[in-house]
Amino acid sequence: MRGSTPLAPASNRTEIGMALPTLAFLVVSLIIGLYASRRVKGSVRNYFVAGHVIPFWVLVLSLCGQALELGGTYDNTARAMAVGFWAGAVLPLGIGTSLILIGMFFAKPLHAMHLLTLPDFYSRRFNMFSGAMVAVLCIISFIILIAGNLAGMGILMEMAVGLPPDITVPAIAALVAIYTIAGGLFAVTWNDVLQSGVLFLGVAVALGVLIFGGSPGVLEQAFANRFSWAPLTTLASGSISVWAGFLALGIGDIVALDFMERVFAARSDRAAQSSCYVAGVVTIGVGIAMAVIGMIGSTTAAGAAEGATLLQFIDTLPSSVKMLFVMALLGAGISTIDGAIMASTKALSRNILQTFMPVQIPDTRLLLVSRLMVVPIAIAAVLLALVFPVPGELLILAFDVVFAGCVVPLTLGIYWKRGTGQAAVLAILFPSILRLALYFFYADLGLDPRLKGIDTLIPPLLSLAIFVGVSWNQSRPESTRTAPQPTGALQ
Amino acid sequence: MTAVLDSFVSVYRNQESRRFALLIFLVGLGVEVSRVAQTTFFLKHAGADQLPLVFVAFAAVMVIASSLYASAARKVRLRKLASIALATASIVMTLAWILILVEASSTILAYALYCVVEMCFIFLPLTIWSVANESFAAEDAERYLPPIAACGLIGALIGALISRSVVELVGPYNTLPLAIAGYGGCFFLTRHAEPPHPQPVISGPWRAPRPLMSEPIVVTLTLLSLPMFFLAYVIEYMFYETMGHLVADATDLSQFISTFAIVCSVAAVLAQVFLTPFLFRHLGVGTTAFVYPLALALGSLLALVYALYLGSRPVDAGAPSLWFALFVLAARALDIVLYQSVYESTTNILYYAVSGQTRTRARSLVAGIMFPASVACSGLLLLSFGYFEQPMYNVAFAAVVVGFLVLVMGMDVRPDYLRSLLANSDEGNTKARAALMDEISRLSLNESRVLLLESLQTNREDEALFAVQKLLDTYDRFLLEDLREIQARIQPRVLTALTTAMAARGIPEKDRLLLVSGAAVS
Repeated sequence: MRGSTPLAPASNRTEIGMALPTLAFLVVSLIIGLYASRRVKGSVRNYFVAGHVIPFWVLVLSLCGQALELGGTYDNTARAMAVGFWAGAVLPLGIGTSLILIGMFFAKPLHAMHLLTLPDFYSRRFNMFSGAMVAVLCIISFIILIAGNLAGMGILMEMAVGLPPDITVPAIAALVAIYTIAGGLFAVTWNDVLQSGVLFLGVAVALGVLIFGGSPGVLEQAFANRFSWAPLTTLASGSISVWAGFLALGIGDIVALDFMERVFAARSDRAAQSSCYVAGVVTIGVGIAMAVIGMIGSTTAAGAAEGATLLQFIDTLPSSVKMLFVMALLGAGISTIDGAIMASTKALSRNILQTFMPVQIPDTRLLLVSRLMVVPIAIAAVLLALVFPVPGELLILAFDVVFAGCVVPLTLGIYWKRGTGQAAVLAILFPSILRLALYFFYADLGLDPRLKGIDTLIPPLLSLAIFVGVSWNQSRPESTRTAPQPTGALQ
Repeated sequence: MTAVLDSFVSVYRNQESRRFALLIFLVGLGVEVSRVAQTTFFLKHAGADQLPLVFVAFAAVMVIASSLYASAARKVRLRKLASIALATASIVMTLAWILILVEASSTILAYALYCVVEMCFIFLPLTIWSVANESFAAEDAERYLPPIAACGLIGALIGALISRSVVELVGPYNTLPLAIAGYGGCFFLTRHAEPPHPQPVISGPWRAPRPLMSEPIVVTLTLLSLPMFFLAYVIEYMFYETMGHLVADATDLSQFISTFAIVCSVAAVLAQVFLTPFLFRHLGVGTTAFVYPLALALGSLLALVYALYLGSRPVDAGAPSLWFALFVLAARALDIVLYQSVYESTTNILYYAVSGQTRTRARSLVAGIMFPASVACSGLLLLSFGYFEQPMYNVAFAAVVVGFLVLVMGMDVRPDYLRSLLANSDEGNTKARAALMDEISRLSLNESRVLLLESLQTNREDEALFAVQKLLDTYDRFLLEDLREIQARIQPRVLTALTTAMAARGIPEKDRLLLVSGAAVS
């Protein structure tokens, strides 16, 4: 889940027992990615959107792989263990809702447009500048997301194979970069089959063992300890923050590049739509299962101790369950990293570089440039992961900024014909600036700390007002004009 | 049901198909009888923990045997090769049985018997099927081969039934003469087989075969076989490990294994007779090919459940619960049943997308290189996990991961089958065209477009012109975008044909001009 805190630093435990399964997992990921490269056949469309041929069931697994990212999955369980059910479950509930909303309102019309990237929609519907702005905002947020996941993977790998993050973080980034360069979206979605499969398996086994293999009445005790409706209804329990988080994820993730590239990659609009529904429901289901695992953790000695972390609780699980649970988290991490790298390199090469350097990067060179751009994106994420391994607030802020500016132009761009290019640029720019300002000056404004979360909700409303107001005031509808188009045949 | 009976009656009425049905029946019977004896002997005299070693040993032997087989295949005709293989099998099995009777060194003999029986399992059906493929024309192949394959399964079923019933009377290893007699009978039958049919089945005879690795379906099936057999052998190891713990006595073990084989054979016959045609009808050959990889992946998950159960018990807990052992039995049954029925039939048809010569070479490549390589890999993996004292659940997890790999690779079979069909079918080859059209009709618009756009870029004009016609059937502006992206890679004559066909279909001139101007620029 986006906007959540990645793993806290781990203890220095080393488990040689997990080295071989981890190795098998990573090697097979690489093999799948390299094998998928057979499908690219020199075509940008195959590399970017897998030729629009991804079947329903792969899309479901792939969307779940993106939705259930490492930081969010871990954070969901850890918060449910330390604070309570809603503190954790709000993350999968929000992101699952966003997938369902994408299925309801966005999947069919966007799939029908045969887009290569989400910013292409803004370029085609409004103007290239709005597409480039969306691309920049998304790339920044995705680099932070990749870094957070890489840092989390480093901690897990230390637990699994005993190697420090300084080695494992660049190694994992290199592995993912290699197969992404080779196989593009084919490599990424096919790997999601493995990674999401392992994630579901690990969660199912851990939950099953904890409920049926633990002490009797453990579930009742967990609910008694950590479940209450108050966080949803009481201001003092932080209800605004919970609802703001839910809305930010539920609506903000509609503009997630990685979700949308899977929608574009679907073999039919029906597959795109249905897969979003199923993936949304599965994400919520798996997320709730993870939250329940956290709640059960709070009933154990390891989980109930003062300042206990989820990793300490995981350490107390039977070794077979622990192995599967760690592999599930690895699956969650790596599936998000490859999807995010893929999505950001596409936006960078297609919507920024090709847009502003059409002569140097014609369509015939776009594939090469996209592949090359994987390297700087991966390096940037690795450096950020090593220098600033717990991005926390920064990650939340990055996705809040995307939520602030990008959702309204996308939605009204599809459903309201009078939206104009100028309105789109302004509706992206000013709310994004406002969101940054609210982040830095929230305390100076003297707002009630219990209202924390409102800073997430105000900017999208401003975006709506700007977009509607400016469009309304334009003398004639945008739909009658000819918007500048991206160059080349791949429109 | 009537159709099923009709197919068997048609086999009976044709002398050549009757001969092959009997051949396959006897091979199935011989292999099953000898496998029950082989497994029992190995588990009793070497032990389940030596299975990884015998996998590696078997792979090494297979490399040598495959080289000899390939060398012989180049020098002698297939019919003669089949006779040689059957005669060798009979002689070696006789020798092994005599050594068992005189109680020669058991561990070495266990290894040797394992390797011999497994080689019979690989080479004998391979050779007989190659002869059969050579003997039938396309129409006959489709009619006769599935019921002939069912006869092989019935042979295996009867072999298992015989083992199950007589083992108490004659002992677990004295069923081997039955296999020897079966192979001997096959030897005489092959000597009287008809000369090869001059027509390959689907692919046309007018075109020189393309290089082996330029056939997409061959590449996919070859690459897929590596993790698939790897997984099958890891599951086999877990199965025998479990059986070794569950059943102590040799006769009981033999009876258990033959009972299991009976159940699997019955299921395989039913699957061959009812499930396979049903899947072909409703999913098409390409999608049916995904069923076995899916079953293997599911099998690996079942094996993991069993391994997790083992991991949750104390070391000295004794024999595992039969209920949990059912998971690993189910995993093995899924593998055997669907391999013998759906997978064998599907690959037979998939290979008909390529020329006869390519088909034989592809089969040899899979049997001679990929199969031993995958068996060796599974043996080495199991040995390394054993060396590092890894628990069974770690082995099973590795199998699950490979299961996902198999699943992903299996998705390539259908598009690559179509690529090969597109590349090897000519306008005059109505059989191939019918198969092609049937598969294309099952694809989504985007899927068929990706494949046809690839065909448009080939230098085989016939294939490209077919693609032109099929693509223009669903013309829209997105197709124009796709065409513009690849136009530099389209042969000039094909591009001209494309624009002409566009004009004939009334596609606006501005669209055609975009392609023509693009071609001029490029």
